[in-house]
Amino acid sequence: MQVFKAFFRILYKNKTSLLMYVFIYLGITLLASSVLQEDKKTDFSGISLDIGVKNKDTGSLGKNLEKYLESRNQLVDVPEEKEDLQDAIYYQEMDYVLLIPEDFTEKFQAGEWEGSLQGTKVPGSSSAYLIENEIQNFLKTVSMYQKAGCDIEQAVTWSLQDLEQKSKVEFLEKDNSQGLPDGFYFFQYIPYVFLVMMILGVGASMKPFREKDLAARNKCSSTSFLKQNMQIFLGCMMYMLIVYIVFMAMACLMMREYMFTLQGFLNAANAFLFGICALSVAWFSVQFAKNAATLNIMSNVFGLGFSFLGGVFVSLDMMEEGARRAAKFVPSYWYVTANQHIQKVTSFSECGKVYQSFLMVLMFALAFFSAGLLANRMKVKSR
Amino acid sequence: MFFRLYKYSLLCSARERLFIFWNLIFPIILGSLFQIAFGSYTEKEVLFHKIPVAYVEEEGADENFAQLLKTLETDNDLVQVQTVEKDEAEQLLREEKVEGIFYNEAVKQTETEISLVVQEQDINQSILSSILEQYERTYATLLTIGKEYPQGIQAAAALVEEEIEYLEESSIGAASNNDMLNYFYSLIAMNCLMGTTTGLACAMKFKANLSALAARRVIAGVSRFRVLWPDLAANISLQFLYVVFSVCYLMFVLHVPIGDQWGFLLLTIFVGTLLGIFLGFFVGVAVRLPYNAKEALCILIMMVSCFFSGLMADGMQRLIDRYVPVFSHINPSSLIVKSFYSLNIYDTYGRYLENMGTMAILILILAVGSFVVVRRERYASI
Repeated sequence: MQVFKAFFRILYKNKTSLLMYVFIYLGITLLASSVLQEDKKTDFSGISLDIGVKNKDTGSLGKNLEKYLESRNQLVDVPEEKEDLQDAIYYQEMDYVLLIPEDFTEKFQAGEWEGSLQGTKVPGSSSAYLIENEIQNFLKTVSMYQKAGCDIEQAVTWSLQDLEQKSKVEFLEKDNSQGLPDGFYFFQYIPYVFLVMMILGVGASMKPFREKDLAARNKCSSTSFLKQNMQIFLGCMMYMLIVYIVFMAMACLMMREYMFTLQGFLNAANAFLFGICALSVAWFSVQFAKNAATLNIMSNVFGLGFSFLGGVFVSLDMMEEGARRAAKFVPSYWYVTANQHIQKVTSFSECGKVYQSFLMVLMFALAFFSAGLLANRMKVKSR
Repeated sequence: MFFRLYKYSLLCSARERLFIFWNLIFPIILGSLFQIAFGSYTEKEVLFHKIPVAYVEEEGADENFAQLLKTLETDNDLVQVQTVEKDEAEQLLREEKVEGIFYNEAVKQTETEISLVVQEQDINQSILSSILEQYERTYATLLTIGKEYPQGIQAAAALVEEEIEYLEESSIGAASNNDMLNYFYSLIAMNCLMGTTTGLACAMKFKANLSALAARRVIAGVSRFRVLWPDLAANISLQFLYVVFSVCYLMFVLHVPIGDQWGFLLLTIFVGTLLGIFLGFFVGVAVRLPYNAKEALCILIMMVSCFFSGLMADGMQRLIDRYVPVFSHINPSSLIVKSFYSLNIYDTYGRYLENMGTMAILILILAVGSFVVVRRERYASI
């Protein structure tokens, strides 16, 4: 098994860059699962938005409007400088800015309703729409009481009382806990790290064997060509297995309970199949890599390309229809689809769509492997 | 002589395939991937669209609510209603073809109960819930008025139908609704800072202890600074062209709204490129490490700088601005990103000039620093 040993000796020399990816990965997953984790909600309470309110009103209506808005949203201070205000809106720290003028209560009492408040918003945004709706709602109720002959103080009291009424909103699935488990986020980014690690690792270890002089020397050695190739193949498989085990061990350490559920098992199977696919992609790209620099390029192009196109980094829902259709032609799309379906199943019999995605990933593995063989064949022939 | 050396240096650099890939093709690929991933974010997540909703009405239920939904659909363009049976409605909701289901059930002979069923809690669901609330509250209000102020009920009821615009709107620039732009700004910043590797290559060709070519240059009859200027100028021009090309690609092929003030955009790209190249040159001449380590250091500086300006994570720039403002004021990538941002978002040039000024100072420090390191260098033996 000399070739096999040599394979791992070369791999060991590249350990720093490979380990770096393991740590980067850990960082990304931990960050993602803490930042993206949605709160688990069982009761519908409506979404709470950030509203900047500048209240200059000397009367009581402005204060009451502020109180009403505060009961369902967060009120934030409005920055003095226009640039700071623009920053806050750009970074979505404020969904709406409301300016209540000095004579608001007076004018309202006099029946001058139109344009009595000033709002600043991002044009056409949904959240601004919701806030405007709330403000209009409040003021309209007050107006109705006023029109019916009630004085403003009483109108506000009645209105606040009416507006306390909540509508009946339920979730379709009663036990629908909205958040996704940590496991989902851990497995979500696997395609990127597997692709990069496979291309860099397999590429770096296979490259020396493909150098012209060394390949010629090896061809006349006593170990047959087939045996050499088998050992390299075995080395690749072994490397894939090691990487896989390292990641699964990390998964077990980080979320022990999750890994021993149906979801955990299916996720592990999904990752294993993608590991095989990543290995095929690596074998394919090695055919075109002349040196470490091109290998680096390949790992970035395939790693980032497949991850962005397949919906690894950014959710597939966010993509345009055309892009989503094109995404079906990359293996990571099927991996991600499987990952999403896995969260919904409760037994093996419901896994039809998951198995379908598994099969697609395997098909891609086969396709890349065959394409690699073809490229290799053509290269040997052209020599 | 300057132009002849400039020409050959330009040809040399233009033939470096690796530089072409990383400085020209890679940003284009990454830009395209960004566009695929975030291109329709604003359209899908920020802007308002008609909300598809299913409506299930039991026999004998109050028809006023159906009427309201119809008005909201035709007059206000707020919802898109499908009146269906219960099973079909649930199927539609599960398949995410509608955002919610309104059930209108007859509880007693005269009473109806309207409820909303949703699958998640987001902005569209909140809007649907607010429609229902508004309906029920208006009803409650009219009841109270009927009880307390019966003489005014007609005047109040007339108001329900009336459209009153209490809010006078002023909107903030259209570019404000697209905070995904930050990814693209960071991408351009990365492209400018890719110049660090070309700057480093310049240093390698300049210091005699770093490469054979530099040693050969030192013994030429011309001052080595007279060879350096054209070399630097050629690399700056080439890098500038690469960045301009990728920005044009972003703007005209991918239609990313980077901005329309071309003069200032080009100036920012130029200053950003200068900063990148001088940073690389400074690392090349001032740091005592083997070439590979220096290259890794340049890439590390570039990536870390871009990370903190938001290339990999949305909102990072804002976080740094808030908690470590000093770093944000000297981080090259942040400065480039903030310059683009200032041009696109603010109506004034104050902050833009501030960022450009800081970049100019940084370039000056790096250039003077490099000069101090290499001046009067003599080699007894190499």
